[in-house]
Amino acid sequence: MKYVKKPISTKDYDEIKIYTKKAFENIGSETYRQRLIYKLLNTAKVNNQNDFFSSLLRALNSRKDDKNVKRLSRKLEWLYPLSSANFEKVAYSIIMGIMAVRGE
Amino acid sequence: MIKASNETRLVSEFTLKFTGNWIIDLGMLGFFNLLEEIYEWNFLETQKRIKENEEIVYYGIFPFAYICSEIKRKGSAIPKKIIKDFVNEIYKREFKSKKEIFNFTWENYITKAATDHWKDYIISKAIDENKDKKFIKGTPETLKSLIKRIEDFEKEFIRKNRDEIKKFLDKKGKFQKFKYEDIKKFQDTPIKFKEYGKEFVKNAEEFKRIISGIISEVDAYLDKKWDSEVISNKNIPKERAIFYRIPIANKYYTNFLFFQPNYTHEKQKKELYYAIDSKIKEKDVLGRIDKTINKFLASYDKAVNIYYTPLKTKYFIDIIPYLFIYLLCFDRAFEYYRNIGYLVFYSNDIFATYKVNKRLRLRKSKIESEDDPNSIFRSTWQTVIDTIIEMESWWVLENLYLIKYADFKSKTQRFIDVEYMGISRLQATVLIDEDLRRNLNQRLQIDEDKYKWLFEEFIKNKPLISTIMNHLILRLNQETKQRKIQPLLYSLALEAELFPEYGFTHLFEDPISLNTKLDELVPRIKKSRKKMDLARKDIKKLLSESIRENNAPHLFSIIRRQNKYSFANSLLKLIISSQEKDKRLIRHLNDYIFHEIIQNDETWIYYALGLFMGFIGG
Repeated sequence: MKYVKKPISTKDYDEIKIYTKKAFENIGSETYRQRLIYKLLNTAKVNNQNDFFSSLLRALNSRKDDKNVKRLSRKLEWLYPLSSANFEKVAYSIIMGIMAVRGE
Repeated sequence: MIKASNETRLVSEFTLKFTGNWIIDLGMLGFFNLLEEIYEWNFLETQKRIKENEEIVYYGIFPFAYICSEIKRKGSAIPKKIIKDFVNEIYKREFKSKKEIFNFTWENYITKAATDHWKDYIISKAIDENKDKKFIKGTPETLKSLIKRIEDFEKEFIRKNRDEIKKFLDKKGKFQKFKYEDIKKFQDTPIKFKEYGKEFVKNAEEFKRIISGIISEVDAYLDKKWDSEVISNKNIPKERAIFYRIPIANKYYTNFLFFQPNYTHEKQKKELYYAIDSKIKEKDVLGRIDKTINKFLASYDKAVNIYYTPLKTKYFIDIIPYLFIYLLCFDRAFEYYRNIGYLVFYSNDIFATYKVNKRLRLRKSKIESEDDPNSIFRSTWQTVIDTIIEMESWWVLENLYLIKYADFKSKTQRFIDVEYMGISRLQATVLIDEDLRRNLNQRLQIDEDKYKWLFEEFIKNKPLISTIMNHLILRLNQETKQRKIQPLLYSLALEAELFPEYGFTHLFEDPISLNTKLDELVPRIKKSRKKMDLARKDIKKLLSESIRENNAPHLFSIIRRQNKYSFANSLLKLIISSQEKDKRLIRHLNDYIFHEIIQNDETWIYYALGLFMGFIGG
């Protein structure tokens, strides 16, 4: 996969996490999110970008009109495709964003 | 942060300050120690006395103390009353010149203080060395005949009871003659009746009675002689000039000046005056001083002495008044520690140096009782830190040395080691903080019988994290009883904040920007420690003890492999499977993992370990 090396800043990761949290506040139940997180953690572990994003986008797709989902999608669109090092950081920012819903 | 207190401002007003030459400086320290030993004056008292009347101190107080101390080293006591009387008297009198002060001191008090030691010396010499009738030059006939009487009686006693005497004195081989110490043993030790039999006990008692009688006769005779011909006497009879020599010797300055065994009483007096009044023009005196006192400075050609240039005292004597006094006191700066040797702590500040050494002496028995050869290093640091905190003289921290000598014999004068103990301002800043200091002042077990002192590792610029990792292995395997957590967290926070990326690599280049950084450093370390501690507590609350115990080894090995995302992955799985309802806890832990681990590429491992502390007991 070809990708352009984009400078991703701390702010970008912060935004990814916040948008993810806001988007997932309205998606599924706690158990649903928990299952999703497991799945995402497993794909992140083996650095599988395709599986990771297909699981994530499938979940987001159910509320594609939500403004927070839109914001997150746009951000990811801008980032994609990612180098493997950047992918890990993005992936964990997303995972932690979903996990943060539980703290609200 | 680095500030001068009232006391340190006072230091700059001291009359006597360090010169920067460590031999001279240690001599000054020895000078203070000497006056403290004899008069019980502390540092400030001596400084005050010098300020009030310099000449009395250097020409009266010093020579008296010096000779008294040399006599004490030989094992004789100086009656406290003589010392007290001397101080009272010298401060009461009016003197016209320094020479008068010195003469008064020597003639009236040094001689008085030396009486017992001189008598003891003369008696022992006469008894021990008169075999070939070699009495000290000028020994009066009366004394000779008294000694002869002792000998005659001795011979008779030996003839009768040679075997018992040998047994009693624990002597082997031929036994012909009593030494002075043998006679003393007879006088001081009771003889067991059963062991030696009736006859020997009777003879021994008789011997003791008669010998004691003669010795007190000798003693009274010598007392009279010394009293009439030496004390307060300017004109000692020439024929007894060597006989009346004050018997002092110093193994460090063998045969130097007044220690010379063939010097007359008068010459000893003159040479001591020369040494005090160092502005002497006589070349040969200076030459002799260079040769003996000052081996380090002048032995450039002969000795392996790469530390020093061939300095000569003549370059110093005009700049440093009373130089030779300090050089003479050099050996008194040191304290002997069993298993270590002679040791002194030296820094650029006279007061701090004095205080640290004094405190080290107070801890002497503790230092000596420890098997660990590093204990002196630890004790020194502890003492240095305590002293410096009290005095608020932080600059001293950058300039510390421990000097060790094997021995103070004139021929060897051998250094074992000069250890530079100075630390950077950065380390000083950290250690000034009480919390940090207390927590670094801990010994962590890292192996079955091996411990590391966090403090020492830190000042030696060694990474603390490896010590902590090694310690954690023991904790995980339940191979240590240590349960403390906070010292580990403080160490981790400290090292995380000192990470090279944060600009502490060029510490000595830009003092202005460094100052600002240093000011912020301690609060930052504390903040990080607090974050770690909270994350650790969250983990403990979130996960049951069995989950924590089961997962600890796995998580630790991931941290050791420095695999950040793998660590996060395993940790997050544990977190999502918990049923914790406390939203604040979840939020905090989430933020911590996200900011301090996921987003943190440089120092994540410290924060990971901080959180990991929640997985282990304590």
